[in-house]
Amino acid sequence: MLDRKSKIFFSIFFGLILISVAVTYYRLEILEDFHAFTEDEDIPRAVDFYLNLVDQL
Amino acid sequence: MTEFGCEWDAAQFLIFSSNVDPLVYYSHLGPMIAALLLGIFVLLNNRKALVNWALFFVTLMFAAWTYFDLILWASPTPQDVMFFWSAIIPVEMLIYAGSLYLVYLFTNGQKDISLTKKILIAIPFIPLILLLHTSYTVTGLSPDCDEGAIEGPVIQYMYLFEFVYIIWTALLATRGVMLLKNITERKQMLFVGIGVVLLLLVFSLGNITLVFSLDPAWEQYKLFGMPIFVAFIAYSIVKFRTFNAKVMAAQALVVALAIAVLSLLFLQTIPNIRIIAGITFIFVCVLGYLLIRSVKREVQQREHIEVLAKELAETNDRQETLIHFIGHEVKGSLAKDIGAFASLSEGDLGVLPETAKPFVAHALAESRQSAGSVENILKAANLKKGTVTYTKEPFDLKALIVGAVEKAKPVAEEKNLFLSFVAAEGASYQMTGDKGQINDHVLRNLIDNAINYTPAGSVAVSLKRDGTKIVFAVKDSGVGITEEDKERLFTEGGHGKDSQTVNVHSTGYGLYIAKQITEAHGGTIRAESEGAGKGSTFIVELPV
Repeated sequence: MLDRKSKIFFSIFFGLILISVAVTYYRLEILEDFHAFTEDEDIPRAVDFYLNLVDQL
Repeated sequence: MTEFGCEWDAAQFLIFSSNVDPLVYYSHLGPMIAALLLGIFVLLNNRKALVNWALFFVTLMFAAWTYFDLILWASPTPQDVMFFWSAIIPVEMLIYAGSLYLVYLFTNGQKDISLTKKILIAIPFIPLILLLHTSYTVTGLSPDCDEGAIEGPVIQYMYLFEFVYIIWTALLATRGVMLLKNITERKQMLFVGIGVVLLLLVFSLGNITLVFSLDPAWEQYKLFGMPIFVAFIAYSIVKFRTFNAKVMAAQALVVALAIAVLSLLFLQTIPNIRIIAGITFIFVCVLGYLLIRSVKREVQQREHIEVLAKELAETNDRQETLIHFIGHEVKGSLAKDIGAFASLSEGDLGVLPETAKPFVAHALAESRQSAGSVENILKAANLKKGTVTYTKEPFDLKALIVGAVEKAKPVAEEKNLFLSFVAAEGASYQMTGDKGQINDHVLRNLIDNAINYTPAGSVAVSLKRDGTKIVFAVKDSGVGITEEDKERLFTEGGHGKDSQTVNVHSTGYGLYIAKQITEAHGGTIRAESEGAGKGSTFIVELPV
């Protein structure tokens, strides 16, 4: 069904995603390392990140 | 319980909470069950097909997404909201990437695609994998308990690449429909392509509402892409046996889906959802109607084929009667010719001039050859009709072969072929069967064939006992048999590709008759050859 190279590729690909999700779990669920906003005005706009990136470039 | 500064009840199993509108459960659990049903059903039908695994993966990711989304609706715990809001991101991207991979498989004849293409599909995941745990993905908790988490630039990036995946999938499916040469594969591609693209487009509705800050209720509509997808895949299964799934099971799937969607109308109260559910229901009904119509058409076609088969059988019968009539007429006429030429040749009608003798001898040989061919055709027709009778008696097969070899020797010597016969000593070759049929149509046929198809070299006939079987073999150093010819060697009228260039009198019935007669005696016949020009061996095994 899948050749050896494809099996290795899928193992690495899904392995990396699982590691990434595990790290996220550790940070957010175990360490509870996240920011809770109290005021709407403090919330940064996601689009500003890209606008700043374009400005810097 | 107080979370987010709001009064919320705790969720059971992360997803069941009194804070959540029942509509949310219905809009989530219905498509989730439909997706899982489709994925498991297709996978169980054929676990060896990669395309079935790809579809199962897409439906599994969809179900996982739905479950994670329910957690976000129901869970009052900030860390759960933060984590699942992040974890849902790769799952969502995998739905899009998996769908693209599925379409790629269909464009590639359901075979795996190259590693380069797989890497190309996976590349957009790199920033996601690296930044998923950071505040670039989910910036933080919202002060408003209804909205949950604040989405960061990585999620915006994901929306962009989901759009890229949709365009990529649509272009690929269109290219597949245009380029695939096999009509069935093309139609499969069309239905799967439309189903996948609609699934992804409707799924993206939720993202559009978030990006453009529209009414969050619109986000519920994105899940209705799955019933549409299920309907398209089910239709494709019925019409083209996509994923090798069975027709009746697909019909059951569509009916179950229609009932599920229809019941939505009675369970919820938001008017917009009623409209969408109603549209989906109509859509499913239309597809269901097409589905049933196609099944009806298939049944009608089958009935038509049955009528044609009956007519064909009657025509065959009439044709066989005609063959018998013509065969017997020709045979009678040839018998008279043979008698006349034999009389001329033997001088019964006076001495022939020397110049006429070769012509008469040639005419006699040709007439005998033609009579043999007609005899073969009539024999084959009789064997097919089952009107051949066998007179079984005990006889010595070795003595019969000695006689057949002796009879064939003059022809072999004329072609300068070395014809030999060896029988393993000390064994009994007594058997019971129709001596005449075995001699004329099995032994003589195989020996004559070996001589006819060997331009130079030798023909070796052998006989031995193998337990309760007598094994008779004719090995020659002749033209040999190709793999292609082996398949039609023992069929009715089945010639080798170039057999008539070597033997112009070949009717294609000799080996068919030999096989029928051998099998009627409970034996087997087979041919072995290493290929064209490498000689061949015909082996007959007869029970004692």
